[in-house]
Amino acid sequence: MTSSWGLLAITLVCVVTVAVGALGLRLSRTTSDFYVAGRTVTAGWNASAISGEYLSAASFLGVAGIVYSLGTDMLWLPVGYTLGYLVLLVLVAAPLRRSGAYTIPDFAEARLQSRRIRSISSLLVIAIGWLYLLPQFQGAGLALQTVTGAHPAIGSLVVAVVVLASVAAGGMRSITLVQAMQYWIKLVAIAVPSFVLLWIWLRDGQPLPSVTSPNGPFNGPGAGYAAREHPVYATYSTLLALCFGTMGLPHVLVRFYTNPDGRAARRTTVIVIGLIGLFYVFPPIIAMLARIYLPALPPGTRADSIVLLLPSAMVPGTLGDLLSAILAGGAFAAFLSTASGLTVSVAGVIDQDLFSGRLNRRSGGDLPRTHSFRLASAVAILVPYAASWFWGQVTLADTVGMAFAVAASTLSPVLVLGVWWRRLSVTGALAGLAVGGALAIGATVATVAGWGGSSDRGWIGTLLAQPAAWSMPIAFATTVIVSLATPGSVPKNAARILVRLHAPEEVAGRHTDA
Amino acid sequence: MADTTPPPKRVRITSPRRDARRRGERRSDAVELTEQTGLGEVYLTALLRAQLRLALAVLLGVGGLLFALPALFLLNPAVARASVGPVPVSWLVVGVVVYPVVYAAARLHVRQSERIERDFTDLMNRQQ
Repeated sequence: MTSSWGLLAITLVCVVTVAVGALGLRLSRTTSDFYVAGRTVTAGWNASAISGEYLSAASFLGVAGIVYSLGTDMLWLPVGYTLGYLVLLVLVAAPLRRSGAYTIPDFAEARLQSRRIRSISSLLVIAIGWLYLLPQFQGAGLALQTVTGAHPAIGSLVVAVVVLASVAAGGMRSITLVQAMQYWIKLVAIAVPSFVLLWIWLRDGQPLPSVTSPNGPFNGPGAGYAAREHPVYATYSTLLALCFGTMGLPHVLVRFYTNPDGRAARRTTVIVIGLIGLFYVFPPIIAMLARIYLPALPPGTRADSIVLLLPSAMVPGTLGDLLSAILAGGAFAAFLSTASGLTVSVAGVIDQDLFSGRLNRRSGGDLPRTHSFRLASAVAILVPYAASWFWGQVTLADTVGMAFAVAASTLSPVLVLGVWWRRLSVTGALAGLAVGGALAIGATVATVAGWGGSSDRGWIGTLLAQPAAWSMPIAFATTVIVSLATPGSVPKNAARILVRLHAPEEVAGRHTDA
Repeated sequence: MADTTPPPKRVRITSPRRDARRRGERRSDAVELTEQTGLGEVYLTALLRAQLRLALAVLLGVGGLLFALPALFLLNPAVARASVGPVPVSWLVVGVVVYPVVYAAARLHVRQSERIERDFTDLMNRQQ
């Protein structure tokens, strides 16, 4: 493929991101603006922004890549990404907004009145955020490599620099604008090439995938082209992780704070489900076409880059190059938006819980808070950027899946039980976080390090690669059992807090503006 | 910082997240009432139960439907391999049809839960 078109598209996306970020900077004046966009964001903008932030490298490149290489079972992956928002809607959306919490640690502390819970959930938020940032850098490296042949480290560096510039410069108001715009860039960037390629496929006489695996044809259930072992367990476990992990992702709750009230939070979520569902129709189409036109991966490429390779394989020449360029631009929009959202939230937690006070004491209170937020942003982005060099060949969708599994096994029990169960105790929540965190993070480390035969995916490897099906129920059970055993550490005002979480604003008489 | 400066026209909020909790505790008479009388407690428990029942119904409905699909395809390979034109049914269902179903469930949930809240608000207003 000619690199110039793709390079142009990527440059354009980066420049527009920084430009809109700078526009936001002009509007962003007070610290409140900086963090929560002054809460003047409408539901439509907010939903676009949530969707823009959510559709990451794993969605744009990873879904097509994994459906391409593993088959029909993996169609559940985008379904799970969407279902996560349904679970979030029915279980926590309105109560979380009504709690007035900005981050998950804020909610945990407000609900359980415990500084220790706050510190532990802060650490988990940072860990999950970094785990989720990793594949964004990898994806960026991969995309730039596919388009221009540049070393993967360069693409990661571009994303790191652009995100740092726009986050540190504008904070969240600019990010809201940037994110909302990114959703529409991504949708157009995947929809237009998909329609063109589908049209070419129809014109070609609708050939079917010719490749069959030892287990049967590509479209068979539980038998992808190179199906993993125990596909049934893996499918259900992944679905569970995605359903319950979404609410625990660091960059999701922050967005709900910009809704004026609980009802708006719900309505925003419904729009989000529509927007991301619309997007997820397209990656599998690309995967299926790739199965037909690119039955074997060109040597030296990864399945994750299939989206960028397909157009040239189907229509060599200018049209193919142009479509590849559009897709590359969209992919970069995906890395930038998710990485910005994660960076803002992880930086918020680092700033609030690790830096705050400390920096101020050192400087005698002279240091403006926006400075320490900028410093936190740098830390938030540099650590996963460095780690992305050492991360193994785990696919983009799998790495993101691990972040979901950790979130589902740790923060999700605290959120769900915190919202619905007044007998949740501090000790119970601590025990659940510790057990769920140890199991899910342990399984992730084992998988990445390749212990337990995770490369050939026997039973142990499968259980470790998709831990949610066992780690999440264990975490929930631990939280419940320990809570029941320690009624003494149930916060005294639990009932009153639950009232605030569930009573409509007009009854609770809460002020919804900052 | 915010404590030491007299409030100017534009207030500088240094830590919106911490303060959010305290601000949230300004409560109306309705909530005071619910906290002081046993009756309020009953209403609130009822609100919580109604919302939880709704949430579980939506989750079990959609979850049951979707989690049954892989099982259906597995037990009935013929269903999964059937195709509409050149496209296998399993692709069509999991890749496309699922999304409008989830969206409809979300719409339904929002409508019902807003109704529950409206009923609750009416009830509280009648108490005052």
